[in-house]
Amino acid sequence: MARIGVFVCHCGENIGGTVDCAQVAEAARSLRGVVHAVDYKYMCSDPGQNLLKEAIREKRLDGVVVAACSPRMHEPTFRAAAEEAGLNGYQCEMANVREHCSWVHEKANSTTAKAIDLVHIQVEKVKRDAPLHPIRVPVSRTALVLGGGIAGIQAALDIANAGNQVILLERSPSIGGHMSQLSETFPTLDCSQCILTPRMVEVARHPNVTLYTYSELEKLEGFIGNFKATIRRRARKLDEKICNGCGVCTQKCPVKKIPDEFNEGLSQRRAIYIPFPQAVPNKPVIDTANCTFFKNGKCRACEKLCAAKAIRLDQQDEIVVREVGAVVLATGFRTMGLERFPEYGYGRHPDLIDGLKFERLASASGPTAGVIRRPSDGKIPETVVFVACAGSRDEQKGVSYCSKICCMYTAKHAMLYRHKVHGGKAYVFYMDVRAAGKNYDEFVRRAVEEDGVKYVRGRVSRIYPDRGQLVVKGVDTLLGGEPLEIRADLVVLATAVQAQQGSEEMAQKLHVSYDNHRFFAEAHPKLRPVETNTAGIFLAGACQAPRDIPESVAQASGAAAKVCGLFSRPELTREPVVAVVDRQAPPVWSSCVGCFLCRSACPYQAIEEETIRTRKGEVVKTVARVNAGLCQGCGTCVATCRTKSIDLQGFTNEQLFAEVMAI
Amino acid sequence: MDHAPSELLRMLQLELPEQEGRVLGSQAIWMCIGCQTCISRCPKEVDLPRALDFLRRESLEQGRVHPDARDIVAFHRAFLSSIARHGRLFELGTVVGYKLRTGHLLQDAALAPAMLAKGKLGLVPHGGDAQAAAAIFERARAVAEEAGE
Amino acid sequence: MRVGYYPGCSLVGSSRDFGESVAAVAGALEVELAEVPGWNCCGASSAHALDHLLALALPASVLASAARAGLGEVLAPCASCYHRLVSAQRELAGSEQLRRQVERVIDMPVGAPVKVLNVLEWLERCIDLITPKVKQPFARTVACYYGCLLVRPAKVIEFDRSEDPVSMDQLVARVGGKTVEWGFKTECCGAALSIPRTPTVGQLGARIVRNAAGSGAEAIVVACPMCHSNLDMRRGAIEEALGTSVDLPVLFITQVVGLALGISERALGLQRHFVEVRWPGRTPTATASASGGAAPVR
Repeated sequence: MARIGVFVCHCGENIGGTVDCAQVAEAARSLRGVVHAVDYKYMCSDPGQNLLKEAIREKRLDGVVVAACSPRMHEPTFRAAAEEAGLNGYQCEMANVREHCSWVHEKANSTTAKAIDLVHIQVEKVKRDAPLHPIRVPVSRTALVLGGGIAGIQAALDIANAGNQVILLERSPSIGGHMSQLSETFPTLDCSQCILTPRMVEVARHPNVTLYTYSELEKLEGFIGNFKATIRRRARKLDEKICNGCGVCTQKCPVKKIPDEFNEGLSQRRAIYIPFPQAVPNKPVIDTANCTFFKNGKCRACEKLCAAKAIRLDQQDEIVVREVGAVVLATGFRTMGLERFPEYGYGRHPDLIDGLKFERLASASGPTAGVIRRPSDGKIPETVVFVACAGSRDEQKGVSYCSKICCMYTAKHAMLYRHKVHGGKAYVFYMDVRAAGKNYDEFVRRAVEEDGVKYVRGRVSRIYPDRGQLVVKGVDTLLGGEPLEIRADLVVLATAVQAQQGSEEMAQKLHVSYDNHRFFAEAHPKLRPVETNTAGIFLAGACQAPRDIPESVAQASGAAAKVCGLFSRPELTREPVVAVVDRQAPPVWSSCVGCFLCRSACPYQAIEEETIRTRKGEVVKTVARVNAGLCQGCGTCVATCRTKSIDLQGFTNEQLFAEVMAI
Repeated sequence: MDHAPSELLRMLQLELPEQEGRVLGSQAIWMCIGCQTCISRCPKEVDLPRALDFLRRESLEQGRVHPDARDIVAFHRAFLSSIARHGRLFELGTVVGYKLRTGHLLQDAALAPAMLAKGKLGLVPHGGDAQAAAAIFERARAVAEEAGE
Repeated sequence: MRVGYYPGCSLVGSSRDFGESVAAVAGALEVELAEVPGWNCCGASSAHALDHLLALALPASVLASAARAGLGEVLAPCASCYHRLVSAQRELAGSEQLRRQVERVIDMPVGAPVKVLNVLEWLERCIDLITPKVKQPFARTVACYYGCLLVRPAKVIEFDRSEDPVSMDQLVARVGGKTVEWGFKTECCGAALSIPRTPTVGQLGARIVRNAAGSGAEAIVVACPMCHSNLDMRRGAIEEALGTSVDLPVLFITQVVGLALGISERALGLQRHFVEVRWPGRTPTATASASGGAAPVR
């Protein structure tokens, strides 16, 4: 026989001012099964909770309804109180008479009547509540960090330093990401490599970090705390343990004219190469697409010349499977291609470059040893035009958003140019200058006031070549819209930041949401910036949205903190509001017929197959089974099941019908 | 051009009568020839050609044409009256009409003999249905009036 | 083969040479040009500058007459006419109310949709008729000048690409010519300001001609009568703006194709140009009449 207690909260004037709480309690007393009903000013307070606990003990209640605010506010509060009094927390329900009643209606009899109805519904539900217990899943204390740029490196270090294991996975042959390509970083003009390489070395040597470079994630299965990652370690075609990084092979390889990716095509590399001198690991890799041996079986020069005999031309990719408890996505960004700019000539002219190319020109370890030279003829440019917002904030031809970092790096580039070419003229065509970070605005002012960079407020509508120079047609809106034409020796476009190549595929592989620009989606734009909606997968860095280095590092540490929080307990508890497939005694075994419509409906891939066998091992039938670790309790499968063989604990079909009938 | 196109838009965005007056009284709206470069490149796809067509008509309607732009208006008027009269452009008639409206009687006078010799300047209109054209112009006036334009 | 034909006012008037070359090329290809019966002026820029309804009604009247005559496709070689016809068509297709108003003005139903072709599109479609008939490849290096209205705006005129278009360059290449890469393919020539603002047209044309000459072109090839007029007839204003003389001739694309097909210069109207069409190392054939003190023609 049910013994339900009803507690109607006034919530000060929030409910009490609109709903007659005493009347609601009175009405509740007359409901079948209700043995105790009171109203009180503040149920969530200590005395309020004590009321609840005392009543449970004294009246031996087996179900409780608290008519108050939204369960999103205090359901955990009242459930915990119930548990303390010896009642299973899942036999405590809340009727929302605030957000759903007193806050949306005027004070009237009908409002109180509605509150009474809401209580009635919950009473019918709670009569049919069964005690439930949180699901416990073990946690594997290894994190998988996808991407070896500054964000991935930071996250890996933070997680590893907290005593957890980390697998750092990087697609290219070396970690470092775009930061390793930069010459100097704003606003301090620190040498980028100088501040990055110590971190790169630290992460590579960290005892808790396993570094897989030149590797890709093939598949990710499982759920939070219990992921299974299938990793493809691509063959470098050499034995990394024996190779000592002497580099002789990279100097003698006969295939020389491959555009060097690290130098953004401004120089060439060989088919066997180390991406850059500070690469980690500092081992070569063979580009099999361009290597003569892999094209027609000849050459093998590297093999012959290697003193350590480390070349392994027959090496195959290795598939590695690892169990991880959490994943950090730190796959970074790419920049918009120059071919996307028709009015600037589709990027065909060699002296029309983008920011990354300029970084390589400015870099001391770059193709021109840090001298700014025109790619076309190697001369030092006397006039350089920088075009901001190239492709960003452009609904017609580019992307609608602001790429955040370009105003700062454009100022930096203009300053570097002026530092290196004292007599040179630098112009920046801008729409707005966005320099919101710490010391950022002062940095841009320095470019204008100390380094003589000429900032022109106006867009560039056209760039075309003329007699060895590039004519830049812009406008100066601060001069009243006066057209301004500049003959430039070099033009640098601050191209839009875009999602990394393969983002969409990666998101689909991980079942993570992404937006229409292919940036990964955070769980909540304001309050949950480092989590995704997929439990156990976190975000760090520019793969989520354009951002600069300090923000990427901060976010990486934030993601690492979440991972460490996840790993701090030996077990994860999950809400037991999960679906369950019907099981009965033989010979029925289950009303499920194995149609698996639920599996196609389930958004979380939580339905598995289970083969039911007799004790002799004979197969009876194959039915569905819910993986409680993955199930999010959405109930889609319950709605889909044709034989009503699957139900949701805590929100069973019977409960829901009873609620409806109660009105 | 006394104002850049983006300036014209800025003046309109402010929704102040004196700024609107500057727009309607500018030369810029008449210097625009509708080359469509603006809308092709604008990142916000602002339909400037259409906006300028509208501003030109407003400017005429309110009688605020910039004095230095009157010859451009005269050209358009001469062009249209030639069509209204002949159904097709009669260049000689149009040019004469333009000269009479503007007083630039000797403009391009030197060009005429060369054009005649090259057969590019017809002395009579080139076909066209004058009646049909006149009817179209008349009905356009009537329908526009009805619609309160 | 047959195609509807809308010459427009300029092809029967001041750009008679364009009209003649279109007719000559069509004749050589055995394509019948079926003129839209009783066609009227499209209104050009003057109509849309002064009167919205008229600017829709005039082109609509042409399209309605074409539809009534059963012409599914109409070739409009003048780029301005082409632009007006296509724009008006699109605007009317998008508004029931406008369509009803226009039908009252033109006193005709708008009729079945007619596909409007510009001269480049038409030549592209006839390319398989052209290439076998090429008698004398047009072995010249030219700058193809598209002007404003053939390819812009891209969302309305869905033809070629609005920056650095290539259709005319490809046609010239198909008849044996070479084209230069240059920066002024779609920079405006000044269009209707030719009469009221001749010096402006001179300045705009000067930059075009200078860039074409500087890129190594022996001639500029155009597909629009206004462009031709502003670069050829207004050469005097251009030379005044440049401060020097430039004898770079301007040809219509149909004249280029016609020459390749072996049609005579006279039939193509080359003698009507103000800037004589001659090539380095060749004696001039067409005689220019006395300039009368305007454009010094050589």
